[in-house]
Amino acid sequence: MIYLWLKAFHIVSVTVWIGGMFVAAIAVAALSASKSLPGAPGRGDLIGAVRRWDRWATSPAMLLAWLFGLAVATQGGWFGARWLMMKLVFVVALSGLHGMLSGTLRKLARTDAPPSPASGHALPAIVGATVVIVLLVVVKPL
Amino acid sequence: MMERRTMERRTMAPQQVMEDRGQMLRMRTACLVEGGTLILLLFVAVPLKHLAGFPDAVKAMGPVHGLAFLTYLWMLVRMVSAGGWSRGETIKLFVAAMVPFGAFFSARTLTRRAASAATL
Repeated sequence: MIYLWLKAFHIVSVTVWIGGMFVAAIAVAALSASKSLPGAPGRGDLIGAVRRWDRWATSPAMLLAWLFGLAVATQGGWFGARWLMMKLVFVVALSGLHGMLSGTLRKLARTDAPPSPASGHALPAIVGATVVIVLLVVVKPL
Repeated sequence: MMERRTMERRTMAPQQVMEDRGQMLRMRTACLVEGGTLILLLFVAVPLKHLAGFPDAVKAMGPVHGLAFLTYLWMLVRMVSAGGWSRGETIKLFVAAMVPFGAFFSARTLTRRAASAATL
């Protein structure tokens, strides 16, 4: 029973985390567009709102996804399974990407410097990693 | 419009300085927690396992250090992505996290940065 609760909270945390990463990635992509000038009206408000969401929802959700995920793996005895080890690689990569997006938003809020070119690839990378993770967890091909 | 922007910069600057300083101090805490758990793992838990036959210490400390290490790395990626750190400094902060007592050198660097942010 506790296993199902842990799994449910893990899925809720992951949903909020990935949703927040999409918000951050879309904001970074939009603000990188040439039309978004540093002094454009509403730019600061947009960055502020996305950063607040990132700080109070997305980042805590990522931490909870990790904690509940580790608890599910321990409770279910999944450690050592190849699909889980493979999944962890993608989860670490997603976490790193989230850190990059979070830092880029901070840079955008502070200076007029353009974000790093890698930020443009964030959206497809999130979609790709999410697809691979879901397939690994549901189908368990390895 | 120009006047408004100048005023915004004047009012934002101290806030940004405080944010920078706060970030460095949080980063220093994460760095010390990571370094502290590494020392406990290597110099307390591992000897307890091999010399005293008490493997539970490693079983407990291993995941704690793992989480502390991942948290520190995540914060490092975020801090470096925000700009202001050279490649050399980034590599030093990364490598020091994997060396016992290396965290103390990183903590010193972060304290220095926090102090310089406060005096801007």
